[in-house]
Amino acid sequence: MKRTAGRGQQPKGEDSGAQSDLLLVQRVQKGEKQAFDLLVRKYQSRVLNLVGRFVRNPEEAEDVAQEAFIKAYRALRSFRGDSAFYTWLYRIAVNSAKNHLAAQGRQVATSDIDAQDAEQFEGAERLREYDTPEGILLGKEITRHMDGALQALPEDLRVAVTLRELEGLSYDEIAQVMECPVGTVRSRIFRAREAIAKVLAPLLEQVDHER
Amino acid sequence: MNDETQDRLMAFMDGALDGIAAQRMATRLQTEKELRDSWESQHRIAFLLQHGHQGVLLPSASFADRVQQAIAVELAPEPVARAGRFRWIGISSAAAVAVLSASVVLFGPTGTSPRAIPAQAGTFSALRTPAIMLPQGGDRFILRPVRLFGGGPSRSSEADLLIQRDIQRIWVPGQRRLLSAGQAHRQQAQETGSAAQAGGLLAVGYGYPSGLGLQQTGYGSANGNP
Repeated sequence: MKRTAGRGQQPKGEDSGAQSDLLLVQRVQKGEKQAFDLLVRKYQSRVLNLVGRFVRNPEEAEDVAQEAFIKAYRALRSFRGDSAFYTWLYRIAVNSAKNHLAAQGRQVATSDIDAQDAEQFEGAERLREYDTPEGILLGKEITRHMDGALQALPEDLRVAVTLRELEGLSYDEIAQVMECPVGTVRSRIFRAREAIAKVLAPLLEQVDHER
Repeated sequence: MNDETQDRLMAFMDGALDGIAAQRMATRLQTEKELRDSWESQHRIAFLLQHGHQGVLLPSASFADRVQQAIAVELAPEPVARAGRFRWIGISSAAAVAVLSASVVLFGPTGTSPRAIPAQAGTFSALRTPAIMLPQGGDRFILRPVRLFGGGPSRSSEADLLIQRDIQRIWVPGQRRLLSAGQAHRQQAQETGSAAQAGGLLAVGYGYPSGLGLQQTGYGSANGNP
């Protein structure tokens, strides 16, 4: 199956999500800590995997990712919205990872790459220490479960979520392709993700348990 | 979760909600756990669908909670009672140093300052024992004159006595250096009797009905010297 977005292309919908990011950032700046929790829950996977490009031990990577979020929280008062929140956050995460490696006396594996590059770094898979036999097996398991869950979806849900997550189309574009209202597209994608989440839940719990 | 909430959540994630509706959804997300879990799950599955085939690191389920905890710990204010106690101790210490310094400057070594109190004067109007009513309505305390500490006055250095007295009479909240009314009265009676016999003391007892903190002190000797 073709995975355009999976190669690092930002799904178009993420750009429009920047508006809700900005709203949440403004709330944090007014002192609403719960709004920051939403940003953490949104970006935790991305930040962790970004840090994982540099810090190859999974536990260390999680610690550094956590540190990056805390640094971001501290610095959020000075965020003016000149760039998108995720770009700003990713920069902090990359710097945190580099600082961590420097503090450990380790060489930074990838020199002078910015956050965007880090996400798209083609050679990243070769660098990761967590490509252990268990890690590889887990990755294969996740892929197998996801493909199985996708195939088991009703066609309208499968097409919608495939166009969105794998082809990187916006909701409007998907609505045009599927000839249905945008609201229907959203509903289909929501239900498709929920169905996949149910299938993956035991696997994700297993990962947590093993840690 | 009903269809309308679903649609609004997805629209918010897409940045397609207008100002007021977006604010409402943000508030709901901040306060409704079910909605927040959905928000997290939707983002996690979207990420896995986009990147899962590459082999990904999965954040532990408690990742976000731990970040929140770390932030909460970092921003937690110092406990008020603890801070208050240290502030009072700090103020009291500063006051003690000030009184000590003033006493040394005013009186200097015994017998060298023109304002030094003659050793034979012996007793001071510091035997007054003003009463302090604690605002909490607790016990009634009377400040204990310095003479009552350590078994009677030392005749070797009156300046030392003054300094000691002023230090002892500084009232430090939370520090039980004060005697209860009954104890102080008993000791005062004993001391007044013996002192009057020794040097013709003018012992005047008076009370501060609601005084707190440093009390007024007046120095005077039995022979009328200031």
